[in-house]
Amino acid sequence: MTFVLKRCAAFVVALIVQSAAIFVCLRILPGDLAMVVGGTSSTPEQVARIRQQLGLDQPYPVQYWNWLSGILHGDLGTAQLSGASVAGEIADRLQVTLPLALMGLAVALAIGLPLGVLSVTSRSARVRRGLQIAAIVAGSIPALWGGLLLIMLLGRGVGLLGVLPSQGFPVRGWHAFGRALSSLALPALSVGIIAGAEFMRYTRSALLEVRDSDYLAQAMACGMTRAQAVRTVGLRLAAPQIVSVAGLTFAGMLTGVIVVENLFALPGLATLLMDDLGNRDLLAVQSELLVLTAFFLFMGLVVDLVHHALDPRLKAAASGGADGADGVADGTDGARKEGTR
Amino acid sequence: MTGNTTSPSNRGFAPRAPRGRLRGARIVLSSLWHRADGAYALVVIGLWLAVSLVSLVWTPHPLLEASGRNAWAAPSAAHPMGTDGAGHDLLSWLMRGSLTELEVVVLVVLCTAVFGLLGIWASVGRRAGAGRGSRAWMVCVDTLIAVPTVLVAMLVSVPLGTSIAVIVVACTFAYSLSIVRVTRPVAQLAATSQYVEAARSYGVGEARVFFGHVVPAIAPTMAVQLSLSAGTAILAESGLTYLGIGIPAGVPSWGRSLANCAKLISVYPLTVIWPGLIITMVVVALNLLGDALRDCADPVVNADLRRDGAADDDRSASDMAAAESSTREQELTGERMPAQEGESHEPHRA
Repeated sequence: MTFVLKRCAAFVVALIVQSAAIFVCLRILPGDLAMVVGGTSSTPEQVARIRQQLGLDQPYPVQYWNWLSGILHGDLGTAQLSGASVAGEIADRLQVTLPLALMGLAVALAIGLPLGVLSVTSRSARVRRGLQIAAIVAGSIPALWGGLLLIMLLGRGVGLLGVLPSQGFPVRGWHAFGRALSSLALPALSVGIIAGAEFMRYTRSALLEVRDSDYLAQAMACGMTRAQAVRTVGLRLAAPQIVSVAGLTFAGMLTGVIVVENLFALPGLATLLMDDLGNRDLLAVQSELLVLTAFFLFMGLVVDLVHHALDPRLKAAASGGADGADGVADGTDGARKEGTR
Repeated sequence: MTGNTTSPSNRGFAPRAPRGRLRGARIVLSSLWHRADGAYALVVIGLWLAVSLVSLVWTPHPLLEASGRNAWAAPSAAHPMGTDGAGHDLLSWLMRGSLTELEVVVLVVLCTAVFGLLGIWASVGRRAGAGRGSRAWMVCVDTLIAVPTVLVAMLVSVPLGTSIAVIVVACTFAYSLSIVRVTRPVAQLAATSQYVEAARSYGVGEARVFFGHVVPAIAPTMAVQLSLSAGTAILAESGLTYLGIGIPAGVPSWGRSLANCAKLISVYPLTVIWPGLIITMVVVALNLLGDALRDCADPVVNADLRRDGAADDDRSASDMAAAESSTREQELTGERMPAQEGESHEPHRA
């Protein structure tokens, strides 16, 4: 319980630090929002007035405080060029990005888990080696190229099979459910296959780590075959690591899918951020960045808590000797690093 | 990454002594060559270097040769890979692009190595030691590592515009942090070893302790990580260039060719095969090189290295020799550190 409280406190502290870091970063960046809003023909007085309206003439600590208290009241600010509220824009874009990331994760899991298990349990050395190489090759494909190949294979109008739309998202959003789903299918596939390759490598190394453990020996002594033992006991042992990687992969996808979103002309979250940065709309950007980082930190929190709940050895380690946690903690660190790459 | 990462328990830490680095490098190279994956990696990377050099003096067509009549030409004898939308010969652009790619990769790897080492120093240096400073720094690393490379690149592109610098800064940021993360347990073990204690008692300076004891211990892990990050840098280049914040337009690079061809895929689908294929092949080679290096540079796995006991005083070192030297030294002294799993393995809390 203390672990949960401590972890939550760390989350809040990290969030505050991140917000300060974002604020400072964006004030260092060149570009004056007031000049952009005013346009090239504006007089210095007009620019000064706009700056005053936006609150940009106040000292930085005051600006920072206003921004934070606005957020705590649920006000993320207004995008200056479009006039829309930032919160609304983010919600709009999440309609695309969130399902895309979820579908991508589902594809990645559907590919990575079974193949990862197979690459450990298969009796044929050739199959094991082949799967390993396939994972390396699939992980080395540029996202852009993978998407293009999928379009050429399955895209409507272009591809050999021509079954799925390859451009855009229906204007009516999820009200046109079927069309929305089908327009996300190809992007999700191209994201998922590459992530799935990575996933398979993790599953494999996590399973290899526990393959020779006493747990599996015990299971086999009770009459399981090695493959059965790996599938039931091994997967359960590896579950904390696999969940960690899944969570972090999912968090990474929110911005990681930007190339694919661009390719398939989907209005996604990262694209919004990039447009606003291009417009130097720093007030909108800082809120968007904060939402994104809050999400990353939140996923980190969830992953750690789930990891803790799934691995009773960690609890024992926290109260007593640290023996049980060694291998597990080590593996997660590696996984975390790779997942956030 | 396949397999488990280098386990800290396999590494011992002996003082550095002048040894035959060149011979070690030759052994590592030859055992790389005798593995299928190592041979593939060496061939592809060798070709890459050769083509970049050749492209400096000769390309089938001049880079700026363009004609509207020739746009999107199908592969022919004159243009073996066809032409792109401006009528540039794709093969020539890809050849010169490999030079740009090489530049990106070398810059990223160098900067990553330098900043990675600095980061490790910050986490194991004497003052940081096992104290509060080191822990605070690791918390920083854990928080920063969660920032996606794309975000960093976007932010950096505001002041820097579209340039190689954006790629280098973003990649260096991400990869050096992950190097700190991955190598820290080993570095910590080395920094708290009795060799270091003994060296310090003689009055050996911080810098010499770091480069003489800590760096050789983490060199194998670092070589693998750097080789992987070289591959990722190429992927990042293609992505960022497509987004318009990487390599500027008009500079040939693989990512640029891929992005150009991607625009009109519905009309000219086949041109897009080549740039992607080349990128994939090279990235696979770099990944395989990382994996193969891990095995070949480790005397526990590679019997040839073990057999090479004699020392000669040739100090010229290549990358691979550096990766190999520490493990060999450790092997020669017959030192095996018992697994000291202490604070280096505490569960991760960001």
